[in-house]
Amino acid sequence: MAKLPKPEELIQVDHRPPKSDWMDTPVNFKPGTWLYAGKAESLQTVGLANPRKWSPEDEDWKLPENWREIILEGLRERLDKYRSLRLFMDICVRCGACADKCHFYIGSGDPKNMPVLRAELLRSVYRRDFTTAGKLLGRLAGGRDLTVDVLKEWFYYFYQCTECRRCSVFCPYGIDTAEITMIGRELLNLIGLNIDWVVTPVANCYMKGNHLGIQPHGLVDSMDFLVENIRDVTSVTIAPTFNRKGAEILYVPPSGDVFADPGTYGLMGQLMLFHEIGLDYTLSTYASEGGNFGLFTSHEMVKRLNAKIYAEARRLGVKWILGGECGHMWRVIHQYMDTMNGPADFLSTPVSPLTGTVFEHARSTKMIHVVEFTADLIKHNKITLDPSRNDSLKVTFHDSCNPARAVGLLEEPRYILKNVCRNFYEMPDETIREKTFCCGGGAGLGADENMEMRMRGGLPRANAVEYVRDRHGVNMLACICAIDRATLPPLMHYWVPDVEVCSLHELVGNALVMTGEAPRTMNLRFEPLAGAEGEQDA
Amino acid sequence: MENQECLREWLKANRDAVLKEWLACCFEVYPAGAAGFMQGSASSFANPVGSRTRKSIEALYDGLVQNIDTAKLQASLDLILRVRAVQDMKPSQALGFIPGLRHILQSRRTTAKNAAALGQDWPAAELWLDQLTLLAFDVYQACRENLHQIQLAALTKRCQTIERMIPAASGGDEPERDMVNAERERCKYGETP
Repeated sequence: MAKLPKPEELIQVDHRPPKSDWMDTPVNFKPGTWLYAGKAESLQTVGLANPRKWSPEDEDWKLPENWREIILEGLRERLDKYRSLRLFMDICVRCGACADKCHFYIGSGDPKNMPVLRAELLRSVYRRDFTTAGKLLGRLAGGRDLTVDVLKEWFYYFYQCTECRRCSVFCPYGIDTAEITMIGRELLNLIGLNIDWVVTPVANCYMKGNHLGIQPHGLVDSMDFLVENIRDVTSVTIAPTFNRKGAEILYVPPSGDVFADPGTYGLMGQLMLFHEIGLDYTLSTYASEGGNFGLFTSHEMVKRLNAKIYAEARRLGVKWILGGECGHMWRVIHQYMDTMNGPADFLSTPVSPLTGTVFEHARSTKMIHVVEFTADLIKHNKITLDPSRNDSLKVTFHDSCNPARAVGLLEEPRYILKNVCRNFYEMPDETIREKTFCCGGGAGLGADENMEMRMRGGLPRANAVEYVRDRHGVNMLACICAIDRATLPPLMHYWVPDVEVCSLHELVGNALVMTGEAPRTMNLRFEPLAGAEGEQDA
Repeated sequence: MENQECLREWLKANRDAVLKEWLACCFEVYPAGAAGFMQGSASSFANPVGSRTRKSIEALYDGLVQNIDTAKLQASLDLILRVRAVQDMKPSQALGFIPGLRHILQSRRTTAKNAAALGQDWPAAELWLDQLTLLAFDVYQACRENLHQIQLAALTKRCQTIERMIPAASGGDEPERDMVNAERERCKYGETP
């Protein structure tokens, strides 16, 4: 009789991951975790390299023959150009302070999502080709050759970083891992390795002024649509203007707010506010996008797209620029705009025409965030608010990464929230303000094909929302970023299904008491206002 | 598991030791460094995967001891499997922690002082673990379906945005506006249009 096999010999099911060194563990392009390649026509539109049809799943990525030389030369140029990059390559001591701060690492456990190791992907090539120790000792000195597999690893992980900069808050040396990701992506772009969720919005923005590629008449008609909805809710007719020369202020919202809910409700709130205070502003069909996906492509592309806002401000002869509720837009404005396209000496330092407040911090960029503007109005009692209209909501606030960490907009949104609603609850300290967790879909990762990855990356944020839902009954997550408004609803639906997402100015619009308005029975979502029916009956 | 007092008392007495071993088994699916982090003592906000896993298996273990109802078991399974359903692992890896518990209990009970008495009660525990495995299949699959519904809703929303752009470009009159508003109502996340 044959010997009976032991149970573990019957079927080989090993649930343990391979124990290979990170340098020897290849990338697995599992559907749901990676992003579609940039469309050739979009690359052609903005003159990006190597336009072709390809997919990350393909064995052959159709790279230029001399791709290795292009990348290494590109890295050499950038090391010479950006002192910060050379510092970031050299000074990391791998202390591990950043390791467990990345939402993708926390949610996935994938070591290459640790900021330190993600940076090592680039740093190892830097060591091998740009340091004496690496040239002599190779792998012993932490260096490795740039191969196609390394390149695929770069693509996978540099498009798996949302550039949220949470890790940099904890780095004792101040290494900004987002800057390393940006350089990584910039190098990949030199040989045509980019993602469609970034490149097509870039091409649209370059040609038509906004990510969605809406032409001027479409933009105006869409705004009319929102104006009609505002009239239905408030009986007040407002008339925003486009491309009006001589207006005091150029107002630039993110285009997502024009078309995609729940951003539309927030834009309605802002339009209502501007109407109520009689602001002399104009929108533009040329600079119709606050967001700048150039930031996720290359420094050159940031500059090209951002220049449109300044050019339009000059053409229209406005005094200063007011930006909408956008996230990464503010990193561009605050940290790059003035260097790249400034000085904007044809503009004035922003001054609120209602309160006389001079926004000194924007003396250089001449551009402020609508949240600062509204908080100042409330502080000076320039608007009447009825926070009871938001009584059906128990609200918490998600600090969007860039406004919080890149600009420091921490107090203003909270000040507004406390004035427009009566039930506001903070998430735990370690998950808000400078330490806020990313939505998991920033920096061009907000596509649908990588939903699984987004759900992983968004877990730390959702986990904190779940805490305030269970503790306080929170049912609304407010934010001030258009990408958040696109990515947080599916995230909430997966992890905390009874919490909805809104723009901060949606709550402002609900609470705003407008001159000549009819009694409100509906909120901006056309939902009955709490208590409105009872009052009517009475 | 009913009327298996000997085994029940043994499970209660060995709770901490078994849970410690089970927790380590749960984290074997992650790369070594990550397993250490997840098993560590960081707060539930800094380490949600670790804290959800711990909460889940504690509740499941107590369920084995105390006969809790299926809905509570499902909720506890959801806690760990909702995470694993979106992580980079096969379904067999995601559910591997249940046979893991069987293995731990099996090797411990055979070396226990009262091994013979425990052996008599053991079939009831095995039955419970089998049922838990089946329940876990359902929960895991429900999470995956949830994920796919979300993807479908995201696609629908994108189409909805395009639909809104088309009437806008062609001069959006009242009926079209009503249509778009009605579409908003219809297409909410997780509700298949």
